[in-house]
Amino acid sequence: MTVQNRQIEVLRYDPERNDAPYFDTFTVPCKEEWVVLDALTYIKDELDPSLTFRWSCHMAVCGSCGMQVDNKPTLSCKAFVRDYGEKIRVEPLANFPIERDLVICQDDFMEKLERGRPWIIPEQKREVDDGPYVQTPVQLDDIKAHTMCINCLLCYAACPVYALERDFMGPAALTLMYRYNADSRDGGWDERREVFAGHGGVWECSFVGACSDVCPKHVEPATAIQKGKMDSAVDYFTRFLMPGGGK
Amino acid sequence: MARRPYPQEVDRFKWWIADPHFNRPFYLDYMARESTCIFIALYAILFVWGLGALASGPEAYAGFIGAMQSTGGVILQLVILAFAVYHTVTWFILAPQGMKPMRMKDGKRVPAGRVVQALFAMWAGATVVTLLLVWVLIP
Repeated sequence: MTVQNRQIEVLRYDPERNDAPYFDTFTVPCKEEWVVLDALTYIKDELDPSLTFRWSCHMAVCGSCGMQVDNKPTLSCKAFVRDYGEKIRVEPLANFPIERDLVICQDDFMEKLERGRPWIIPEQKREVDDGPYVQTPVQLDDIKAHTMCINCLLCYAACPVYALERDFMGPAALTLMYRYNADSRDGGWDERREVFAGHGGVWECSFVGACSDVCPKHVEPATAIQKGKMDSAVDYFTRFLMPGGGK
Repeated sequence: MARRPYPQEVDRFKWWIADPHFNRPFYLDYMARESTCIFIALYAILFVWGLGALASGPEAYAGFIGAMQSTGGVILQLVILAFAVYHTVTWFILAPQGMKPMRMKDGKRVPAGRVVQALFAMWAGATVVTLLLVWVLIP
């Protein structure tokens, strides 16, 4: 087993002591199979117990350990140190306020996620005796990729629109909204319209596409949002041009 | 412990230059793709100018044709053509990412590559038809 020393450059910020973040560099003897998260754990265990970062599953499922690794939004549990250079720069996810060290403040996303009503709003509620809401494999295939989101927020860190337009709902929240709007069992379009298609909704997106590139679960947020624009346009014209509002 | 989150801001004008280079230079590609639309607009303006000249009479139209056939006019049109081709190609490649999946009779998705190929085929077809029309209509 080969061990190689690497310089891990970590952005530090302690809200009680620092007015601004600064870089701290640690020399870490990294094993070949280590990911960046392992290197951070080594720092916390052996070098500086005050280093703060979020993590849980260590297997790209929980979505907790998103960080900028060498300036790219990445799950640190999925970033093998051997794929990087001698020096690796680790920073908190871009575009979010820093809570402490590598921990970002998620309040804005949480509020937006909830505002999107990301759950099935059935058109006609079924009672238990009526049996389950059924869906064909093709209907599931239409939305399946968009259901895999783990809320890791890498897409927000990659999105220049979110960086500049704070009202923008952002890739993950809009993708979840699309995922439910497009679900064959859902009838919640009218309830979500204002948030989905109004100010801060899908039309703020200018299709940079970086969200889909950084997404570790291949959720394709960029595609979901463009499809959402199409639905929103169809909805707009059917409501205003068709007799009875297209109903 | 009091919370005191430190805001991370980006520069409103320079964000695309500080490119994080994801798997390709995303922000630069995006700016190139979007900014080339200016040349499409420029051509639309030229076209409207030509229509206006045509409506004003033979003399004005001859002046417009003369301007288009001058060295400067030809260079301008070639530059516009180059940027228009770049704009078109980049958008064609993106098209499958921006549309609902097309399905074959058995419910399988039409592969993204096929969609792009179809767009290029339609473009080639439209170009051939346009050139044929020009060849037939203009003596």
